[in-house]
Amino acid sequence: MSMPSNQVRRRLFITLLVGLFLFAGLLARLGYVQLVEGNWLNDKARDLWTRDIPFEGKRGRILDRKGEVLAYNISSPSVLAIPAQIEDPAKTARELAHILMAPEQNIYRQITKKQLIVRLQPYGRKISNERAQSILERRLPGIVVAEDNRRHYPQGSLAAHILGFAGIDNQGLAGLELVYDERLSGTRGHVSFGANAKGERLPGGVDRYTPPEDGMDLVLTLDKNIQAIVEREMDQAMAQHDPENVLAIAMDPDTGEILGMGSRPTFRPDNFRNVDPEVYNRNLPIWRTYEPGSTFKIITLAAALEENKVNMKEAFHDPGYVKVGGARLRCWKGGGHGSQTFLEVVENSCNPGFVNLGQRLGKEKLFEYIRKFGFGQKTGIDLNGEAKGILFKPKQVGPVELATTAFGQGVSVTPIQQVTAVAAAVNGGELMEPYLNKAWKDPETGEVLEKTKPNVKRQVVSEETSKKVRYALESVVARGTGRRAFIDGYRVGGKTGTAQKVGPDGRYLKNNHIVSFIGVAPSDDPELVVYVAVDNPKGVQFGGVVAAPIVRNIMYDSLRYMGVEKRKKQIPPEKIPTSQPIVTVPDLIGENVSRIRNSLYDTPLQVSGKGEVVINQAPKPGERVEKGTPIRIYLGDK
Amino acid sequence: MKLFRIFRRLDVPLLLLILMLAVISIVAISGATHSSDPGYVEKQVYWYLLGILFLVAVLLFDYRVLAKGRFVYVLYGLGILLLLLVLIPGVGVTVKGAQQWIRIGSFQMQPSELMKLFLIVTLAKVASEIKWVPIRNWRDIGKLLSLFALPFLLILQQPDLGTAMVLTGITGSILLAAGVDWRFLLTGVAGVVLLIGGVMFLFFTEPSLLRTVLADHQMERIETFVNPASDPGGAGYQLTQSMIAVGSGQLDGKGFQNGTQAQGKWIPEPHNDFIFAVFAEEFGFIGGSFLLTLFIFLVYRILQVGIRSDDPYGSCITAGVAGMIVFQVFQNIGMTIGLLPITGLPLPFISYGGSSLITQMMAMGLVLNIGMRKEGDFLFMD
Repeated sequence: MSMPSNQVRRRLFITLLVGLFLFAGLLARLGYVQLVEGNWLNDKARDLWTRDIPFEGKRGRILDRKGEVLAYNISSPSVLAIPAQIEDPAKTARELAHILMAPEQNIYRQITKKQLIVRLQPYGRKISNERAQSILERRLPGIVVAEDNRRHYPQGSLAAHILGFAGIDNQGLAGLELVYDERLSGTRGHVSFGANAKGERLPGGVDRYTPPEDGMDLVLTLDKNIQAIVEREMDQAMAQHDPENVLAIAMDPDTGEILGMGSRPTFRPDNFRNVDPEVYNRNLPIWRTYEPGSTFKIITLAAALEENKVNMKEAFHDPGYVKVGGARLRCWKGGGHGSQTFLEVVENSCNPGFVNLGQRLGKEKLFEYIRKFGFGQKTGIDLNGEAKGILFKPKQVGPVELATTAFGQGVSVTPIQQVTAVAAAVNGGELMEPYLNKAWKDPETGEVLEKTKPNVKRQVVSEETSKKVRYALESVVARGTGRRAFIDGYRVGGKTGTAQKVGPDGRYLKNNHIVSFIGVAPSDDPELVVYVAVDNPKGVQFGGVVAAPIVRNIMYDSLRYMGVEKRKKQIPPEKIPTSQPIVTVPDLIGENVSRIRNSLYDTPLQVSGKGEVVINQAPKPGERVEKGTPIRIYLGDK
Repeated sequence: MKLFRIFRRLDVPLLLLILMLAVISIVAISGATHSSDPGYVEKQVYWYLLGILFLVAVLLFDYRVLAKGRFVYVLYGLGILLLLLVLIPGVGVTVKGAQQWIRIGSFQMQPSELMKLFLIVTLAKVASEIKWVPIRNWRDIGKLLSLFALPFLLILQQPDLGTAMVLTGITGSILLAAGVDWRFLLTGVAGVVLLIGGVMFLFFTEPSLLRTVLADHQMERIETFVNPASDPGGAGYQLTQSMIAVGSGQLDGKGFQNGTQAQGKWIPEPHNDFIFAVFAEEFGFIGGSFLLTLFIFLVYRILQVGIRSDDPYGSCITAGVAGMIVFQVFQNIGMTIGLLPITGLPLPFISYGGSSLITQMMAMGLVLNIGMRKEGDFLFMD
């Protein structure tokens, strides 16, 4: 070999440089991995070797405004398996299967899964305390019993659509359970222990216990009693009229608090698995949209009053139709209402009269008010699935559209929009945001942690206008189309509605209506707005006939329950063909029973107790009742 | 006594480096296995003792005897024969999908480890005997490359990409030291770069085409290397776990026998291919960089022997040994920290295992041997 040796040296030196270069690369990379990425890789390492056995926090209860429980938890144990720690799977499976009354195969398959922690489904979920106890006594390695909670709805189907339901893992799936899932569910706790790649417990590892945090109690604006009244009336309506569905809303117009709300068909939250999702997903009062019909005239009226376009005493002649843009729009009453004041136009729900009001306002003003009253946008109620409804776009509105909108056709709205809009029209003009969440409470101490304040969205009309609307509505009930909602002394105001339904072909369906009634009481200072809509009742199809009595019943029972005083002054009702005259209940307390029998021969008496003297009576003296209402007297010895 | 005089020239720093690596090996294996099978530590001590015996045995011969006659070709032929034996069913043993072991009775060995040594001494002889430098004669180059290609292909088909790459490293460094023309070397480097680049390009653009050439597990390795998170439970598992181990060691480590990744058996092959991950987890960047520094010094010392030697054959051998160690360390550590795709390969001197350790110790014996003998010394027994 003739290569000079210094050249060999040079080349060996180059070899060394190449080696140094490669090692420098290694060193740089090592530094980057350990010093730069080290922190999060360290966290990953910790995640790897700790195993968590979860402990559920208790889901918060749902209460009505008075504290009645609408949803709570029944604590029940569940069985978890940590397969890697099970020493004898066959034996373990046999014993578990015996206790849980489950197929051994099924248990064996689950506890041998290559998984860190297996929840034994479904046999090991939410088992009885006795079974849990006997599993604990066996001390099976790798088998853990953890506390689990089962959701229970003690009131059956009451307020089902509002409450919704929670699933097996206590996760909210529908309704308020879903909307407020995060705060209701609290946080999971767990016991962590060190484990190796196979899931076996690392020797010498320390178990760390992170306690679960319970969810908060949710207090609703709902009143269980008012809700029950609403539910009862809806059931009654289903039985009596055989409609496709019924919906009802009861709201406090001053605050926007929902006191009762529901729809038919309904379901039991405990049983949601066996219910058609269409039933529980369609919360009709907020989801359904349709042409409201005459109840919408309240909006037109309020707008016209606010803009000073009408005086209620002004005269108006209705020939039975009105010609608009070449089209002939008929009044619902054949032949028309003839000559009347505008107050009578409202009482009679006269379509040509409202077309006239709409024309006086003009399309800009009318639609401005419709929007200001909240139509065409969500009300913001704290439930999922709320619809917006559809309004004409400004450029679509010609004379015909203006006219039909004025009496409630050609707009598509939700029931909750109507309720909040009418509430704004009668409460002094403030559009409220409707809500169900009244407050959050600490589940342990009952302390109120957070309270929802009523949210005024905007002032839509003045107090003065509002007063006029209230008077007109009371007049509708006392003397007009809403007579069947009349309750003596409660000054009920209201408006009927008969909405036409649009069929799949885009035309109005024949003989298929949604009849509705919206009621307000008492008219001097409204404390309750009730809206009821009945979809396609068999037989009579007028809001005043079908829906008004339902609203009346809800109003009557709710107002009495709420302790609203009967008023002395009211618009005297015109003849009420279907009801008895109103009389004042006499004071019988202290009277001798034999004397009463002689003097009150035309009043049926129901006697309770023994004795000669009346010590109490119901109804109370001075109350006004229909003639022929029985009086219950309680007897005793004085 | 002449032999005694020769032994006084023994390279002491090199011996000390080997001793330090031995200590680290024992510590790392202990950290990797103390919770699962503490027996490995003791066995590794025995392997080291056996390795020292082999090292001493190699010292007793004058290495120049290898260059006489056709002796290296006999060794080369023996290595190829053993590699062929691996292919015979019953003799060859398949470990983890690669057929790279042979079993004779209760004795198991990895012929590819021995082949590394045989290739070094053979290539060094052929290269150092070529008259014309720089080497640019196609016949000479062809001869060198065929000597490399035969074992390379046999090992590649086992398949043991890692060892095949080490053979490439050995060959490259010997060719560099022996004075192969720069243009040729650069062409070779460019060829390798182009090949790797081409594979990667195809992998991202036309994987179906690449699939026709590569086996499934090879595709998987590329995939894993490119994106370890793609399948952390399967192919990416080893890399992910190894990265977590190394990274969570941070600056000063979790302490001896305290690595959660190692103790929890998260790291695969903790005492073997992934021993560096264990060491870096328990001793952090301080420990890891210390170990790397030891390797740098080792390579420096080896090449120093070659530089001092006045025998081109000896210089070429030291270049081959240095190339072997550099490539093997680079590949092994590179794969544990996500720099290179995962190829099963032990870390020299540190990983548990007899075949690998004895090969390294014999290579060290050769290097020490070269360092001890100068021109004028006589061949063994004169």
